[in-house]
Amino acid sequence: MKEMAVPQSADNIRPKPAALKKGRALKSKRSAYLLPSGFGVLFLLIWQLKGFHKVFHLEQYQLPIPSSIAVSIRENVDVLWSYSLYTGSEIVGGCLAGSLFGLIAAVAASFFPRTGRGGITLMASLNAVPIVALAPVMNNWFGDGVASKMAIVSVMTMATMAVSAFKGLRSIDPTSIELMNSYAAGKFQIFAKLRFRSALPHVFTALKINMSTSIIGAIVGEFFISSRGLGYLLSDQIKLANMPLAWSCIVIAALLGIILYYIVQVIERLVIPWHIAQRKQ
Amino acid sequence: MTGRLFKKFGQNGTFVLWAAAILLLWEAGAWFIEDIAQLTAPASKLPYIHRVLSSLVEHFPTMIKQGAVTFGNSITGFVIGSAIGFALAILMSLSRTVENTLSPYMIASQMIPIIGLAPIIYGIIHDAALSRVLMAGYVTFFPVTINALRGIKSIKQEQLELMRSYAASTWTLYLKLKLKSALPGLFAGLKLSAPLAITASIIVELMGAPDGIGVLMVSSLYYGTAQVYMFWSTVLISMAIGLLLYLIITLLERWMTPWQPEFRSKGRDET
Amino acid sequence: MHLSQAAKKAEIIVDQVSMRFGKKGHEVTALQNVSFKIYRNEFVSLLGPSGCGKSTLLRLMADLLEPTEGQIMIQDEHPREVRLRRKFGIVFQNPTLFEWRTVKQNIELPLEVLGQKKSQYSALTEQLIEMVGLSSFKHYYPWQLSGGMQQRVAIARALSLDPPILLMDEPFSALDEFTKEKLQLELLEIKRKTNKTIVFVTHSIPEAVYLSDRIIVLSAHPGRVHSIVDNVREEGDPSHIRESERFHEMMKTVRNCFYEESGFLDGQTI
Repeated sequence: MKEMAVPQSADNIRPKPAALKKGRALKSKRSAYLLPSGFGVLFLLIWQLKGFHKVFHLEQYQLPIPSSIAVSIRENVDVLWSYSLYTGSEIVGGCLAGSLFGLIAAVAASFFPRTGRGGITLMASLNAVPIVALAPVMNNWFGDGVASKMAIVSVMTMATMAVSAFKGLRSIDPTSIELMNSYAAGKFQIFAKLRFRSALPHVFTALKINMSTSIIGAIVGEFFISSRGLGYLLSDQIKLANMPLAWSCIVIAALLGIILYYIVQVIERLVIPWHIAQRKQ
Repeated sequence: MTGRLFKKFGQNGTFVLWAAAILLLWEAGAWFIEDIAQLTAPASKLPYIHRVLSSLVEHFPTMIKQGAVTFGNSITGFVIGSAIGFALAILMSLSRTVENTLSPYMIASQMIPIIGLAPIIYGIIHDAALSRVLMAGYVTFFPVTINALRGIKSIKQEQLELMRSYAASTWTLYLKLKLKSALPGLFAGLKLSAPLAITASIIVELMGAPDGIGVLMVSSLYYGTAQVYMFWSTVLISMAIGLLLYLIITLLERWMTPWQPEFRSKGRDET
Repeated sequence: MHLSQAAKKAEIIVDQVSMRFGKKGHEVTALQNVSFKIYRNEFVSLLGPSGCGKSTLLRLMADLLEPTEGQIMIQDEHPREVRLRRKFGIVFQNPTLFEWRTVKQNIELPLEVLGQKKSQYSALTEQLIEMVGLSSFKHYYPWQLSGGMQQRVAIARALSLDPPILLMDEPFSALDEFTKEKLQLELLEIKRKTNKTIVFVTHSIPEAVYLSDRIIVLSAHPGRVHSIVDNVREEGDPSHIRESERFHEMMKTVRNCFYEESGFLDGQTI
């Protein structure tokens, strides 16, 4: 046997030791927090120091700086708080009602898929429609209180839930159904033990999308018809050219959005832990 | 073959049946409200569809003109927004640093009522057309970026290894694999943001722009019962605009990504 | 076949290769001190149970991974050079076809990447399509093909650059037994026609015995070379090999590597 011929050129190609890779992983983990927060701070700093004002030739009455928005939030904390609750109740109520209606529609359609599918398709076309247009109609129906905005939010959310849940209820591994059939399980048992369970991840996905849709629906609804709420305050303060308070509404609405989103996420984690673990992998 | 055709018709058939049923229900509801219950201002609650349609025909030139303004601005913003969004998705897929920096904001933006910015933007620039384009672009941009990036990231490890085994350059890798894989995600994003783009434009109009379908909507509301069918016509037109944009995107999707499972002619039967 | 091994040209040299994955302190050793040679025009199988690092080894040869220690030389070059010059074709367990491309377009992919003109290669692709028996399917999309047909496309694609080396990672293990036998026969036919050096990863003893000139038997946890079985395949009509006395003798020899010696199947390996 000859000796292993190892040409010299190979020497300058260094193998990657495992330790080096690990170092890089650690670094990227740290940068996952540092970079975005640094970016956020930088953005706020440029804004505060009127960088955007200079670039876009804006005045402070057009685009208030962060500190004046913060001051405005502090000064109006009471009204912002009570309006947040008002708008929040529209969001939650409307989102739950709309999602529930969509879910019921999906379940009904899943029991009669042949006729149901057409109905779901029709509902899906609601998603392509700018629902804002319905705001004045809802005002005519339900007055200018919470109910009209809830109705807008419901209409905006039910299609997403119906489509998503229907998909979940119908897309089941055929062998699972065969397994249930081998136990001579009834249609309702298959639904309770199999279909509904498998649809839950889809239901939560729809719920999360619906949460952010709901905020838009409630706020836009209040632009049109309301004498209370964050959307009303926002459009009202713009008319009064009180920009810091208008921006405060945006900030509070954003916070509200994030909080509601996380609440849904926590519930999801409690209800379908098996799916969360799977998704992480 | 005929069986498939028949089935296809069956699916569309139930859709048509449902639509017809809803229209009938609507007419019945209108009849109930106006002639049975005799509520006040019945047409602002639920008007007869046929009267709305006749009003639509009557005001058709105005409707089309204003609708075109809204649609034109929306679509301009929509196209610009998707182009920027797609470019950003590619940038984020190229650089981990850019992705790490921007992705938390991308996710947060999904939870934030961006449309709330519409009146503020209009308040700042006071130019209706520009505001519409800007808002439509702004609401388009995030869903497109997130979904396109998701598409790029869904590429299988072995596909990347295959391209690597060909010693493909980054440019080739994008051209042959990554951009193609991003397309289904891109279209998912476009379909999500299309109605948002229209809504954004309409909201700008409601905030006091001089023209557009939203302005017509508000002004016909002011005249109360006199213009009520006109108002319902604007609602129908804005729905039609939304559906039209959606339809255009769906057709584009079918044309550009024919390999997607839902477009396969065999049709995967669900049980 | 009967030349002494020292006189033959070593195509691939694996020298003291170790591979570890994971974080420090929690490292998993996939391969430990693996050394062997593969000669030009040989059909060599890397055979072993799951976890023996055979796929990792193939990826090291393909420069899709880099070894933690040791090195691999292919035609006296680092795998990276070999990859950059597109001197090997690769076939995975999953066909890994691009779903937006037809059969023909998938086979042409590497040629496109290489930047060749369509006029230069269209005759070649036709020939490859014929070779794998898909002439009437060349405009089909992957989802319209069976698993066996998809894998045929993948093999044709690997051959399209006419590389001297073919790396195959369990290419037939997801197929049914009938399709598998058919493709194995076809692969031997391709091997006879093109005389490429083939490195074939598998966990199937009959498959390795049927196809290979030599079998490198790997053991798991950590992956090491257990033994090397020489002169596996006999000359003659491949469609009758399975019935021959020698085939069964060879099967027994290779199985013995697993069952008798050194408690291969004890404890953790299963």
